[in-house]
Amino acid sequence: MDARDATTAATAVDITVAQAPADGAGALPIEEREVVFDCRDVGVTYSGKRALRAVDLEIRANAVTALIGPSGCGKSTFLRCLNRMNDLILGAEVDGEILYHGEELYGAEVDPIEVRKRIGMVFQKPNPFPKSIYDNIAFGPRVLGLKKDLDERVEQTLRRAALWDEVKDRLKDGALGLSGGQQQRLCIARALAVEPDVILMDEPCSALDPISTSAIEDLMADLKTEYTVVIVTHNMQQAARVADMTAFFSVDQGETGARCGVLIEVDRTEKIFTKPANERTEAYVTGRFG
Amino acid sequence: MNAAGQMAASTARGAVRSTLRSQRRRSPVATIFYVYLLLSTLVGLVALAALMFTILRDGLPYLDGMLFQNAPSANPERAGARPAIIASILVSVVLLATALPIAIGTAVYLEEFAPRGNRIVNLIELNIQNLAAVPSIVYGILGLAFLVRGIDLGPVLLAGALILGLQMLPTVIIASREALRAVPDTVRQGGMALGATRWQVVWREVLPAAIPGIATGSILGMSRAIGETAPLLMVGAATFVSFNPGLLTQYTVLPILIYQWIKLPQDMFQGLAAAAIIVLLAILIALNGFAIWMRNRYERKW
Amino acid sequence: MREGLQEELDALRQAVIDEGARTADAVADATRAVVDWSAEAFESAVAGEADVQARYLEIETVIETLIARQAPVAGDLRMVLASLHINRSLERAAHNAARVAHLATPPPRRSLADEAVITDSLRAMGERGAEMIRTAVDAYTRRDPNADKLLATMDELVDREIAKVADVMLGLDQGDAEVRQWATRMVFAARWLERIGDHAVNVGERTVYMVTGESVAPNPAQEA
Repeated sequence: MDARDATTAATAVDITVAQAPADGAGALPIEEREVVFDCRDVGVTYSGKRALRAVDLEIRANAVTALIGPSGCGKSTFLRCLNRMNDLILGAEVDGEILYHGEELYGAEVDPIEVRKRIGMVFQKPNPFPKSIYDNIAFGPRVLGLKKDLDERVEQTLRRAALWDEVKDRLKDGALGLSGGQQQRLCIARALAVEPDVILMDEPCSALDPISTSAIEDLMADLKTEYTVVIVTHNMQQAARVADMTAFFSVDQGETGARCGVLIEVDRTEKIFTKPANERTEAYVTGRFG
Repeated sequence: MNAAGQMAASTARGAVRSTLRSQRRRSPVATIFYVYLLLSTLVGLVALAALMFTILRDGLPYLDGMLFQNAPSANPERAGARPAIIASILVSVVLLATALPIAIGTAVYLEEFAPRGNRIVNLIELNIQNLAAVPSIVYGILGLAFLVRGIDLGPVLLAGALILGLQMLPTVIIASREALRAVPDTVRQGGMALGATRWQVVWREVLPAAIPGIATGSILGMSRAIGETAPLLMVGAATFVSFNPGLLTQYTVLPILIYQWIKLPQDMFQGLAAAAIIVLLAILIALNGFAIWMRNRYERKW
Repeated sequence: MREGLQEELDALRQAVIDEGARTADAVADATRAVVDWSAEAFESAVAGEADVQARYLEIETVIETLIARQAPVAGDLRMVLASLHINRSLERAAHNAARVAHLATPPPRRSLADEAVITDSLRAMGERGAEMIRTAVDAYTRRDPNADKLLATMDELVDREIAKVADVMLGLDQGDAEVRQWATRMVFAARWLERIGDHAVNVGERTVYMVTGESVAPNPAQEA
């Protein structure tokens, strides 16, 4: 598959999203929820150098799945495969198969733009646009042609992101004037504004203080009732707190000394943190090895 | 605390205080360097002040309605700079309409859309740097060969403006690219992650953020173009024009007129030249002021 | 990495091992007190219980601090939780041993054949109990995944012996009040000794949980 994205109009793949019923506490057990991403033997190379290989993973609907592991294990790389952001990196090639609701994400007729409309992303360092709070949220809907009732949409997403009360009187103020935690919640709201199906978060709290982190973790628990959340985190305790499923990635060193990321184990979070099946997982979560 | 304790405490304080005082003597090298920096700044300021003073002293008496209303004349009593002022303004307009969009468009393409590492693209980038250094007279020769004679446009204002535009391109392209590069990549990533096309991201987020830098670069380029004489002389700008010029007529611009007047023997013409210089400076200051205003208006703190 | 945590876990383990040794001693002393009627053994048993009680409180505090500060997970978490249970089991076993010691009385008449049976059973139960405590703690040290089976097997003898005591008790001459009184006390002692065996089995089960993560249903009749 090729690197640079094609902005030519391609037929969007029609996707019907079937979501698990979001009833009160409990809902469906994880193993019975719909598979949103079915990843088979997924790998990534950057300009020929292999960064990730042989990932077999299922991501289930209406759950938070955490990707943990030491630095360089490819968890962020893998995350970027899920919304085809790796397409924007020169020399990046994705192999293997990723099925999104049963459709091939990297199929020939698939338009990455359409993919990203449905699979949103929040980055490690909050990156609001240098505009007003209102314009930040409105950007997505405006470019996607969802111009109706913009004011309501902005208010709704800000409420969803637990930011409305703090900014409702200053929507026209610059977004860069907000605190780090507020900016990150703004980025989450911005992602929500285009009504995605999935939200990907790449270490969303690593640049934030503990109180903002807590607020965003509470938000994740709320978001999963309507969306599917995949989060990369280097903070194991965070994964333990927020995730329903946890996938542990680590680094394999090849014969030539080349380091490559691999998926070691994926299971319910409580299992990973009480009785991990793989000794490498045990070594990592108990902090014996970084 | 008893007396002994107090004494001990104050001795300790004294010891600390003396260590906190500056331990180093101001080294002579640092002083010399500081003086050198000061002098360098002063040189520029003093030269500029002297220039301004001379110009104002000589030109202010001649800065009146006649300057703006009359055409050049052999008689200094009745000479004015009207056609040249109009021509300079027309040239600015042509530059704004042609060279700026082309330059900014090129910068946007090279910075946002061109494939990286591509050999042709690298070649283009390298040559833009070189073109910025080419002497202006060479552009004049180019204009003469292709525009004035080649397509037989003739020695008209449009030809001169186009050539100045060409000369201006590299400067504005380079400045615009810098301005675009200064926009953090996280903005682009954030936009693309929302499902916007690359064009949408550039048009709505990157360009607006880069406007201050682009504006500054553009004004720099235009200021230089307005003050040029050599290439225009090459493409046949006249030296004595008494009618109001149009796009496809003969013309002369302020710098050339100033040059003409300075060569004339009468003292009045010297004064008129100084006055015309003031007008030229005023135009340039206005342009720069506009750029600063644009920059402040769109300034964002990263 | 996490050397601080490792040191704390090792210290906790050693504290439990030491507590286990002291508990086993207390059980042995209590047994000697009740079958040999040794005053010195009685003093030892009572002192032993006090010692184990103090250790119990200390270990509880250590575990509380360890969890709060270190947030152990996976194997470390299981070790800490197992140690918490084992701590309690050992303390209860030592308490039971003290109860046994307090029931020590010489029989009213030394010539009774029944008295010999009862005393022999008690001795067997007590010695087996002390041995089970030591075995259980050893299995904890060695992280033996079969500790539960091992100790369940050892417990069979205890069950047999207490059945013997019950039989003798039932067959006793109803007329002799003094003998009946003594025998009743001995039955209570046997009951406490049986509970000590149960606590040792619990230690074995918790050890298996620590090693494998599998929880066996706790031995019925849990608390003393």
